[in-house]
Amino acid sequence: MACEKDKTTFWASISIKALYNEKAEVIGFAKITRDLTDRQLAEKIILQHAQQIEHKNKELEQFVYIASHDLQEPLLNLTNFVELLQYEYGSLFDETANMYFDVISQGASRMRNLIRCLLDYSRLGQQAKLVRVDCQQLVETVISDLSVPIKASGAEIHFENLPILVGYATELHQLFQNLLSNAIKFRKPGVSPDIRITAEQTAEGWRFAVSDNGIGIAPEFKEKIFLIFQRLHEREAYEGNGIGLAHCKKL
Amino acid sequence: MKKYKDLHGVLLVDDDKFTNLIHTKAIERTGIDVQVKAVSNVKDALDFLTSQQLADSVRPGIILLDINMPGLSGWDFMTAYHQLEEKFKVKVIVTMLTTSLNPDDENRAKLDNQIVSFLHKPLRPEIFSQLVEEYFEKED
Repeated sequence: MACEKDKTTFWASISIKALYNEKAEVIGFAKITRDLTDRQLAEKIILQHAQQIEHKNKELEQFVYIASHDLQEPLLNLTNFVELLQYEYGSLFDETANMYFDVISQGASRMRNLIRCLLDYSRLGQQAKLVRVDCQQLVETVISDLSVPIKASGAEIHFENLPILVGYATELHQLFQNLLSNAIKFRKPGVSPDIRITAEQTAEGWRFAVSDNGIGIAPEFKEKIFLIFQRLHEREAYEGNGIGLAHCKKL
Repeated sequence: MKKYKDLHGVLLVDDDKFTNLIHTKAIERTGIDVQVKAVSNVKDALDFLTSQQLADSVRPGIILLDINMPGLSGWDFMTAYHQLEEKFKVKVIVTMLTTSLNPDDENRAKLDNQIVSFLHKPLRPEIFSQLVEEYFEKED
């Protein structure tokens, strides 16, 4: 802390150095006072910004919570009660009325899907924790999540000996979910999807390959059907997912 | 009506009364003979479980517990529940989650040894039947 002539104080960095004559006797001192006020101010502003960002992030988390719960529940009720109405009073309605009910239900379920996609998207950016991921088990979970379209399309999914690795479970889950649902969705008409998931170890990590007998993709992207990502590398796992989504878009 | 041993009642805990109604209907549709009691908050749930007047003939064998509730949450319920005397406890607690996208809640449910499973809303009759099949013995 340094002192101005008018007795006000300010933060400073001070260095004092002894001055010598030829006989190495101390003849005085040199003092340099560097005013740190600006630096202090800058640091304070940075700190404030960091706090603001933290606050904003908390707000965002809250937003995600509201989206996941408070928006979903009324929609669920909408779907549930249309269903109940059809179940208990179905015989009282004619075809047109039932068509109206279907439209209501479809609208509600589309909305729920949109909310889910938004949530997925917001979770993607979050810094997830690295955990041990059993890919074999992960793919099994994805398959059970997708059981309805799998059954409907008669899809066969082959996978074995997928590795256990250290990675981001949610992102990996989304990645496989994207790829599998793409493979099921973009099948050739009249052909049941046949999907293969394989993994091989490379110098950089694990290389996963998901292939199907669907309608395929434009030749310029044909090479990119393989998604490569490294374990222990967040960016790469994230990019992998980005490719998966871009992949959806291109198709 | 199908009857199961030690399964007299089901306690529904959800702040949304319509969800409780949907779940009550789903249970009715299974044709399983149970008394359904629905409450909308944690305090009422605990009061119901510990009530001295609660006859054994309606004592719940299953609790379906919502997690996201205003005030005391489903997790607060579990904290209080763990303190209860054994005689007030029930055989099966299942947490009901609104979305399939909250891994935190799912993981937390897995860690609690009193919670046997978590399900996603809405409860379906066939899912409830499965649950009963798994944990209760059928009576002739």
